[in-house]
Amino acid sequence: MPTPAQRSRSFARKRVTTPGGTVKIHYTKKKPGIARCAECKKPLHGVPRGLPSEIAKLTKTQKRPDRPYGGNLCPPCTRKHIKSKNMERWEND
Amino acid sequence: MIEVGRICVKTAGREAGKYCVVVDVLDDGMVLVTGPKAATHVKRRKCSIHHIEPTPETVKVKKNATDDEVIAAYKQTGVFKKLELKEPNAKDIEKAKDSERKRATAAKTEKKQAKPAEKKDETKVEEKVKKEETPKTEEKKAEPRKEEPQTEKKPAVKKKTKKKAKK
Repeated sequence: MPTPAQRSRSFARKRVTTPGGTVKIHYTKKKPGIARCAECKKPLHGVPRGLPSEIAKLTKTQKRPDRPYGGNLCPPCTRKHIKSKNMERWEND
Repeated sequence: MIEVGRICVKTAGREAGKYCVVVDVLDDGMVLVTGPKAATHVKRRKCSIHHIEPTPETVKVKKNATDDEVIAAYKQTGVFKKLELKEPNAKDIEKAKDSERKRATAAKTEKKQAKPAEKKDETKVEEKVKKEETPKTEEKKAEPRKEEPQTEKKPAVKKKTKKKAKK
């Protein structure tokens, strides 16, 4: 029997076949979703997926790409941002 | 738009959003670029045109100008104020130069280490060939020896089966 806390749907249920052949349910914490671009909603590369406790153990460079807006925007969207900023900067001059 | 002396913004990689100067125009849409590193943290490197966004600002700079010449040109034309950058101290310039020297020495040592390793490999291969030749004769001698214990084992197995049958 699982503990009452594990019965809530915030736990993921995993079916495991034991060596004896019976199927048992294992209760595990759900992973957070994949990191996505804030603008175009495409999945980001180079951003790991896991429990917060697992990700806290990683180094800073393993958590996101070393780039402005890294881990928030995808590369084409950052390029658009930087280009538009550059255009605004030199519009009045 | 992109010529020698044109100030650009990098749009890709870790140096994205930082200013740089075109120092040389190469073939195949490639360009030599510097910040310099002491001024804008952009290293002197080859770069694609697609990873650069030009600005209307220009600096009078010779082709293949050194980083010191570029900084001098910045000071003359007042680029630091226009781009809202800090003027690099003597310390900053020394730091940037030291890091470049370290990289150059590291690359040289890697090359030196790589060359003797190749020579060793050749000698190792020759040794291996010699070793491979010698054990072949030993193996031939060893093969008949292996057969003898096999014959000894077989009767032992038969005995076990007989005992099981009796039980």
